[in-house]
Amino acid sequence: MKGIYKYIFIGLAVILISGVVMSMYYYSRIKMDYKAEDFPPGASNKKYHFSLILNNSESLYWRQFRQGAMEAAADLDAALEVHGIESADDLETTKLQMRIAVASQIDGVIVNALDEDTYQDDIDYLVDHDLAVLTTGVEARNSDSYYVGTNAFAYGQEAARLVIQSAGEDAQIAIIADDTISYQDGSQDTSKIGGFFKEIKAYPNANIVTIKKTSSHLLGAEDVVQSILDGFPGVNAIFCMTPEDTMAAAQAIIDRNRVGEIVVTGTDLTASPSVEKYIEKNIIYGYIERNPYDIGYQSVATLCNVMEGKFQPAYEDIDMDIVTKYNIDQYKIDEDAYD
Amino acid sequence: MIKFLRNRLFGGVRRQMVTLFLFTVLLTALTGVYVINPSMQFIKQMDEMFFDTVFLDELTENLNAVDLSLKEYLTTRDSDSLLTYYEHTETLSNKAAAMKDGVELNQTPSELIYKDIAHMIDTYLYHTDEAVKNKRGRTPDLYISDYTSAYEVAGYIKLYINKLGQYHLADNTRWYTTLSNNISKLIASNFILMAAVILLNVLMILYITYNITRPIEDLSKAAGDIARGDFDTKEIVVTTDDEFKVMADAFNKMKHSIKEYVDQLHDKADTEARLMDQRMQNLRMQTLLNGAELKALQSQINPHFLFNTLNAVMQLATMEGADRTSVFIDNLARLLRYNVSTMNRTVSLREEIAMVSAYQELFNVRFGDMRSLDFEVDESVLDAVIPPLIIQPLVENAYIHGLGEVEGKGIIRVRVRPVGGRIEISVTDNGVGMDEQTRKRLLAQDYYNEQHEHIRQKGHLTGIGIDNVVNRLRMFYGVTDIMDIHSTPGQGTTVILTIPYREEDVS
Repeated sequence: MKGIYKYIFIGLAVILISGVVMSMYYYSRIKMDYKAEDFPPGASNKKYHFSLILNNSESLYWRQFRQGAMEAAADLDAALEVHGIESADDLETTKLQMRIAVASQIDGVIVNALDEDTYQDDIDYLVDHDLAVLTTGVEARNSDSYYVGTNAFAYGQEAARLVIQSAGEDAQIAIIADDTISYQDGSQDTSKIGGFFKEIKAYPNANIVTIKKTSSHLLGAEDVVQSILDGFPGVNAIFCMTPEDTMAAAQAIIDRNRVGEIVVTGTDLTASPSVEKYIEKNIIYGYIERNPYDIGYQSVATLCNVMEGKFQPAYEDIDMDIVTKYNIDQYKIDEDAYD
Repeated sequence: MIKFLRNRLFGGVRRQMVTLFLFTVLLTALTGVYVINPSMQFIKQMDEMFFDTVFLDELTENLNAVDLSLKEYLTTRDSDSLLTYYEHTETLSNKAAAMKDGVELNQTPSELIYKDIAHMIDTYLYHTDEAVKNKRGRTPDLYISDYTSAYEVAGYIKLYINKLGQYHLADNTRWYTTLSNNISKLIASNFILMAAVILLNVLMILYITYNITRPIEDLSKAAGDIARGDFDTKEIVVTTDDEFKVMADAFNKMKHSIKEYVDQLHDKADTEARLMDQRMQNLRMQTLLNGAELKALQSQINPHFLFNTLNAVMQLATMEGADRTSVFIDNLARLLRYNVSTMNRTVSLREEIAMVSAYQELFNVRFGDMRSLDFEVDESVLDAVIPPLIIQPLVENAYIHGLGEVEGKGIIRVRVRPVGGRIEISVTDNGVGMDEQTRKRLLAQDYYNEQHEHIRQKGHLTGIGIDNVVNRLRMFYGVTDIMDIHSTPGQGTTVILTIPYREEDVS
């Protein structure tokens, strides 16, 4: 009888302890899920408060950019509110966010300036209200703002050299540009196009046959590629200025069975398995990597320097990389890391 | 320390029970509190969640109230409107200050938006105050411009309030989804916990109750056993150090004491019984002696008459010169005198042998040379004391039963000798002997089979049978292994008496 009691007691004690452990475990999980009593939680008060306004925010380039900026904010004790604007064409929302930044009395704004003029008034408004302003993509005209990014002109030159490498010195080139880039019949180019043109001029037999604008930011330029292949049968090199367009152009060449006849040079791709496959088959010759993570990180670092009164050059160039099949192994990244 | 605690908590039945009840109640209460606590926390969280939503709604209402009162003042310059405006701006300003004070600038979107709203309220109030100031200064362009700026900022604030509301909704939905899942698991865990606690309480109550009542049951059973007279019931063992141990020890001691007392009573009763048996034996012996004496007395008249008569006959025989007759009669007279005079006393072996010799003389006259009686007696044992009439009945039996039917010469040999500290008396005849069945029957006969005695006394001198002889010897010496018989049919019989050697005054 005593033995039975003993075993039952041990069994119940085990169940009791298991119940307590399970209960405490789930209770701790629940407590972790509970919000802190002070709302919002006050772990620490950041020194600076910046706003990052991004259009076309879902593209890989800007995801990498945001990741770099967020990590810089964490490293440099800054709060960074990110206002992602999905459409690159949504200028009004971008302008609104800049106005709100002033009303919110934050310390600085990072904005992707599409060109020198579009946000000029807004940038001036920010500067007038003593906000530190940093543009990326394109340098703003305001002399009190800062720029971090690649040199657009140099970018164009590098791209041209890569295209010549891919298709030879007599390359017949089509350019697929971001439709936010302002140009007029090729005579008034952005810095990128300007650099590209300048470099191509060094090869007398090479021609820029056409420049097309992207019709879709989401799906890329398959229809544009289609029109190029139909309208310009002599084209043997295509230069795409966005990663989406680059991938769409490569797939269109495959679909049209023009592999080997036309080679694509792209921008800001990631060394994913599909890109690697395209490069291996020489559908994409290579691409220019602008290091968006570094640009994002340095953007926040620049604003922190400005806030602290340290010397900060108004223009900061971030090196770009040329990725081809010869060095793609060095650039392999985990695309999912940039959510 | 442990011993002290153990003594304080479990020393004694009352403390055991109080400790048990307190422990079970405490365990149940703690479990209850523990189980209820998450529910209270959950309710608190829900309150906070609703508080945030209510706070944001109030903020929007305050904003609208400021806007309304400002607009009214700007259009009417009504002092009441201005007062109302000031009241609302104070409320809004306080809320903004509270938001800023209560908010640390961090990295989560909700926090940043919260902070933005607080600062935008400041900006908004700046523009509204400027508008009021310019209205008072009667500068319409400026106050309209300020109001427009304020209106824009109010729009931004509402936009962010909505955005914050969406964040809250998303956060709360995500939070609730996760929480709901974990709460289900927590409820299941707590159910197991409660069930285990209840079962544990039941088990402890059963165990302690069993431990408390078991000694009582044992005591009850043992008391029942003792009441039935079973003092060999097992010892009651109580391992706990409480009143039951005291009771059990006392009970065990009481049991031993009673058992000892009863054993003493038994011993006393046994002794008394033995004494009674002894008395009964003595009584029986006396009865036997009385019987023998009675038989002797019955014939006592005859001896007196016979003694006188025999004396007259002996004198007559002497006077007539019949000397053999005179001797014969003298032997007969001595024999009869011995028989009568020795019944109540012991005799020496020498006397007994002499009496048997006289008996022989009578037989020699009667049977002549046809029967002879030989003696082989060790002189060293002749002083031994024995009951009277021991050898003579055996010799008589040999004459009557052993040699009665023998037509040739019959020989009887009486041998007396010491054997290992005892005396062996054997009477041997060369008569008809007896079969084995008869021999065994003789050896196995009861002490007082007087019926057989009567049957056998026909033709005997004394009427004393072999049974009487054996029984008297057994009672005299207190031993049972007295007689043995060796016999072969047609060859003869030897009756052997083995008696302890006892030498004392003949009484």
